[in-house]
Amino acid sequence: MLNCPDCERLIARLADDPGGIDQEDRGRLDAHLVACAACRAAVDDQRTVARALARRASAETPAGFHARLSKRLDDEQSWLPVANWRAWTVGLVPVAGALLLVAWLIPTPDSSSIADTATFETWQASNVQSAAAAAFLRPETSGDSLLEVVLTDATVSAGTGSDVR
Amino acid sequence: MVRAHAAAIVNLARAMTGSDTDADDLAQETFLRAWRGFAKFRGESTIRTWLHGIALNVIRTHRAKRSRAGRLFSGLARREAGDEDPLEEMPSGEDLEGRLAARDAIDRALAALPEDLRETLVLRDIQGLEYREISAVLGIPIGTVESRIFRARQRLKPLLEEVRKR
Repeated sequence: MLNCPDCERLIARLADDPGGIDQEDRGRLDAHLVACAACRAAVDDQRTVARALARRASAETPAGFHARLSKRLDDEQSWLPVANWRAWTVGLVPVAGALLLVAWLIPTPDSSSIADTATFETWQASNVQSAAAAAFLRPETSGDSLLEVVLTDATVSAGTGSDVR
Repeated sequence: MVRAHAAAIVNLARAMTGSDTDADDLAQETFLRAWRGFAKFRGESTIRTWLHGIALNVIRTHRAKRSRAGRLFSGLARREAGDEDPLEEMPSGEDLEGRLAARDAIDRALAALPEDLRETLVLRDIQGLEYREISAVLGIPIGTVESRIFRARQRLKPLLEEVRKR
């Protein structure tokens, strides 16, 4: 024998789709309904609501719906190649080929001329005027000697500064 | 596909949101998503079931955004709307105006239901989907579909009393 909560889902079916209840459940439901006024009332309520909703006027497709959707689909399709990395890759192959060809055709500078002028010593001789900087750059300079050179240089600078003042 | 199912999807969105403008936008978004994801459609369900599933996802996203915004303006909305029963001004009649007004009243009543009950009931009693189709769309057992429909109708019945009388 079914109790009321057990009957709820069967009552929902009975209201709008009685054929969806199998024979055994239908027999047990009918036996319960005979004895239960509340569930009989529930069947009526379920039918009432189902009918009311079935009579609800359907919303119509808005005017221009298909045209607007068609335009949005067209817009989406026009952006599709941008989002497709395979299309991008294939499209860039000629560009990459052209760049390689240009790189191959342009002559490279003579590397020996760079080596003659780019040694550290030649750069140091022409650019490092400060004794402190030169000592700093020499790898064999010890910490004490570097401090001495810096202080000496600083003294000279300070003197120059006081002259200015 | 669009021409065959547009009316049903617009109707679903209208019943779930109560707004013609939102229904239009959400139905458009549904078909855009369907177009983007058509390659994933494996034919395990009908096109109708598949589209209803997409539409419900679009509608849920829309409602989530709206409820976040709604919380910000909830005080203002209460002052404007008062505490009216959604069916207090239920119109009637068989003329077009009366039918449209009755539809508005039904949709407002539906809006008073919890979302899971509303979705299930709309799919069954307004969209006319079979129980097994609803089970597939919502990803829940048929027994749960049946019990949700029972509870949704029981809660909706007092609100629809006026509609039934007219």
